[in-house]
Amino acid sequence: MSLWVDKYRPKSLETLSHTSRLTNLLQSLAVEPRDLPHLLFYGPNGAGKKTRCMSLLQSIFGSGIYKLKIDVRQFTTPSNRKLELNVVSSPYHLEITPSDMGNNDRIVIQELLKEVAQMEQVDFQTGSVAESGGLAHRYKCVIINEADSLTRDAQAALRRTMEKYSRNIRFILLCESMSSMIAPIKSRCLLVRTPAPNTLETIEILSKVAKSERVSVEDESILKLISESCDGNLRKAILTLESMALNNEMALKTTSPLIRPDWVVVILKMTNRIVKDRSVSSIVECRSTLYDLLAHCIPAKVIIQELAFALMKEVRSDEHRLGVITWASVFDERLCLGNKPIYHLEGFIARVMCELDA
Amino acid sequence: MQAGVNGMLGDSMLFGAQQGSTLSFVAQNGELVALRRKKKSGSHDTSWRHDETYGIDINQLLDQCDSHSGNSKDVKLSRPTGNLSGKLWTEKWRPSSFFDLVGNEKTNRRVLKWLRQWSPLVFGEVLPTKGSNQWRGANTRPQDSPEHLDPLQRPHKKILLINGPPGIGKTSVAHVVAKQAGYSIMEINASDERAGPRVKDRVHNALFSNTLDERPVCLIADEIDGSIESGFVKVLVDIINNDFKATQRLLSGAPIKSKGKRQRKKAQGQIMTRPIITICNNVYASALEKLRPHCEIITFQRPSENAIVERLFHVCHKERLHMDKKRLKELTENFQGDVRSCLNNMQFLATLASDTDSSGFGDHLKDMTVPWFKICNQMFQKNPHVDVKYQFEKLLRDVETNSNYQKIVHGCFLMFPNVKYSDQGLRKPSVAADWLYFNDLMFKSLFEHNGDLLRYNSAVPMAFFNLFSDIANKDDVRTQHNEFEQREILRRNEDIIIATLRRTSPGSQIYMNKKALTLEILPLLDHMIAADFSKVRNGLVKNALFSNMVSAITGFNLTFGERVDTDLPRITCIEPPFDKVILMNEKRVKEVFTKRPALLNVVSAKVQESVVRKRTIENAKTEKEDLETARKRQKSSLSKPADYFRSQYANVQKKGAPLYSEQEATGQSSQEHIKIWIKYKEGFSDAVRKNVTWNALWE
Repeated sequence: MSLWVDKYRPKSLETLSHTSRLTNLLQSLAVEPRDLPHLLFYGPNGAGKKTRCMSLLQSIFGSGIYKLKIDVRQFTTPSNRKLELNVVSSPYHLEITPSDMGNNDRIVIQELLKEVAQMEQVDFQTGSVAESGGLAHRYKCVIINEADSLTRDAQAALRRTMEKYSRNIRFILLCESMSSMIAPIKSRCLLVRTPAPNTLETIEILSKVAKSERVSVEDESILKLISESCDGNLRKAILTLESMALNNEMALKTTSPLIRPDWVVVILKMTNRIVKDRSVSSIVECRSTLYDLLAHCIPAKVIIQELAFALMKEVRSDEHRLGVITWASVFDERLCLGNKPIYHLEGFIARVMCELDA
Repeated sequence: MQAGVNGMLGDSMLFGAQQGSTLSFVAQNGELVALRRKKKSGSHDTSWRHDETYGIDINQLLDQCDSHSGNSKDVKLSRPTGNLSGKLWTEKWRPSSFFDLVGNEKTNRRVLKWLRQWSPLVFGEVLPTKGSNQWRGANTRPQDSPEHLDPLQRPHKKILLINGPPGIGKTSVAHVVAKQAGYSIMEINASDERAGPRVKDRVHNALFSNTLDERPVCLIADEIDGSIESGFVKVLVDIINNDFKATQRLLSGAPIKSKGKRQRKKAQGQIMTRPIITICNNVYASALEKLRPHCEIITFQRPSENAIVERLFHVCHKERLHMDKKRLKELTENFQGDVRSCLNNMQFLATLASDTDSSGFGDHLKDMTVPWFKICNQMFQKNPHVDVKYQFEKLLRDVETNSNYQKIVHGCFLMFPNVKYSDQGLRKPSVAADWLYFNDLMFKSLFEHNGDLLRYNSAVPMAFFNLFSDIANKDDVRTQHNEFEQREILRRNEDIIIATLRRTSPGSQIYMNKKALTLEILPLLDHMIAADFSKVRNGLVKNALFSNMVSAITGFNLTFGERVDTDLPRITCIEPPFDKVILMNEKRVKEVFTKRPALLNVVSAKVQESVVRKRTIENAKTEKEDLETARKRQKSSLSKPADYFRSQYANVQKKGAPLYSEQEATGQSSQEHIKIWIKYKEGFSDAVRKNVTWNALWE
């Protein structure tokens, strides 16, 4: 009972789709679970990092890994503030999302992980898993989601824990980009790059899903359209497929309109306005749109990225494209350094308008 | 009850001996009326009544007023030395009587009225009640005035909270009024130690013990919003709570005669018998959250300009400072009614310029602040008659003295598209963006380098002046500051997203995060749920659609609710209302109110149906399993056929109805355990639909 994304998510290493080389590597890791190194999965959003990670754990610990529960843990900061963190855990692993804690993630890393690491796992399990010596249960796995949002302090706190307690604990870090991970962490982990599926692979997966859900697909071109619009984000692609199927009476025609999230539609509309009408009045309109987007929880970085790529498609001449991308990078930097996104987003629009006029 | 009160306080001054001082009789309406005997003057210690500051003895006050003119001569003579002695004018001219108070007399009177309500308790004096017998006793309290419900005749709310902007005389009013009502003042302000236990001792000493000074104490807690919640405010709240408990006990224990009272007095010595006045600037400060409900809140407005000017003129006159009323008016305008700053500045002017001619005064006015929105508007208004350089300098000075750079810059940012200026394309807005970036960087130093770089922000508004100022802009532009609203919406939306995330099962929660939920999952989920199936004819397809929708909804654990925030009739919507977060396209937003409720009604029915079906199936399954296991057990344990049947018979008798119905029909199978809901169409059309239980159909 859930979305197709969850319904057709592979649960074991054997059923993993796309990038079979990586699957082979993971399988070889699972053969000798005692020697599992710390892992660092990195790759774009929706490429299947988490799915791979869970499948790997499944092949090591058995399907008990999917018996999940959520605990609320309390931590106290040195300044006596109480923090609450949701910890998802199974008998064999637990996972945390330190970015929920903001700047206090160091405390979570220190307290929670030490507590876990200092406890030895006792293995009462027998049966198929015991064939591998039962030693797999000597350690507990800790998954850290969005590891790239860990602060430097927290990463530093992680360093020593990774070595000192490696007998009892294994880390699996998941992140989109490795650039913000400090080098000592990288050197302690086995780096696993998880690439996004290419268009062909996406189409294949989509048609498989469509077939088992009895969605009639008139032509593969519509699937191609979906997968291209999703840029290798498999989650987005399957979600789009489902919403399009439901809106088109379970039959996809080549003419069916592509469904996009509202915020993307709004940004595309704004792009059109920027290209067509370059005036102060349109800046004012863009400003209100930007305020709206920001208030609807769309991060400023996502807005500028989406806007820049939409402009690149819209603009014809190469010089203008160069201008757009240059200014996008300049203002992206400003977004990072400052903390008043509305100034910079509007500044970007004004600059681009200037550039297109020249 | 009154006897009890007297005993409680142990105050001989209050009502004297119990016998003899009151007379009681039954009135025509059957009420017991207690009369108090008129006191002979001089029989009690009433020396405080002759205190010059107490009471509204109008003759005495008028005399004082007259004597002011006599005083002024002294002032004139002593003025030069007075200034040298270093006493601030704000202290020197602090009002000392009720008539000196500047400002809204009504609020001042409210403070006085509140304080006077304590008089029956503290001074044992009977308040004159309007249009009724003056000698009406405590037992016949009028029902219509709730503040008299207190057994001790105290005001309903025991703490007075005065709030208002700085410099308009809140402290002065409190002091003057308390003095006027005959209290001696105990002040606790931010300069005192206000950590919990220490301040507790002080407050308790002040409130619950008698002073050697004949006048009772009134506690004035100044600048209370600066204190921390756990400290001073908690002490006050505790006092109120103890008092409430003690009062309740007093009320319930009232019938008991006075002998027991004496002993109990020590145990419950927490009854508040003295007024507390608290003063703060910001009544909504988080520290005051707990205190506010117990307080009578009086908000002070800025006094009218004329009233201030009158007062200042009076001071000028006394201090031999020659200033005409027009100047004074300018001064008050500049300080937006802050009397204290006005006086401070006047003193400054007086000491600086021995001969205070108007030109010198004009120069010194320059160092006073101009409100930020005025500055913003001035940034865009070029004055053709004044040299640009001079105007620039003047504005820069204004900006620097205002020092609220962030507000000014943001105001400029909001305004610049609405003003006229000459430009080639959009060159100027893009240059302005660079300056705004500079502003952002400088502002960040607030968090990193102790705000060292903040001062450079004064350059940013000047950049706006250079870029956008024009002669054509003459009128002030009004902008609304919508930052705050935006932040509120953002916070609400974030909460909705977290709530949605929390609802999902852990199995799917691990595969998503907040970002993916906002950017990908929820927008598309919204499309799925809102799919238009009204035109679908094919039943198979329709069923497939429904099953997918239902599984999506149950997967996210969504429920259906009703929204009432529109003026339209109630409409069905999804709970949590994530559509508020992700809908931005106007067309689709409109759809939420028009098309969607009808569709959602059908979907919600389907969801209910599936839930019920699932439950019945599960129940039937468990029941079957139970039966089967029972049978197996019996089969294995009982060997003889006769025994078997006997046991079966017993089993049937034991189990009774459920077993029978199970065999009868599957639909009715478990009447006792399951509620079956039936869609029942009343009337010809679908107009009326309601859920009916199975039993209702059979009745």
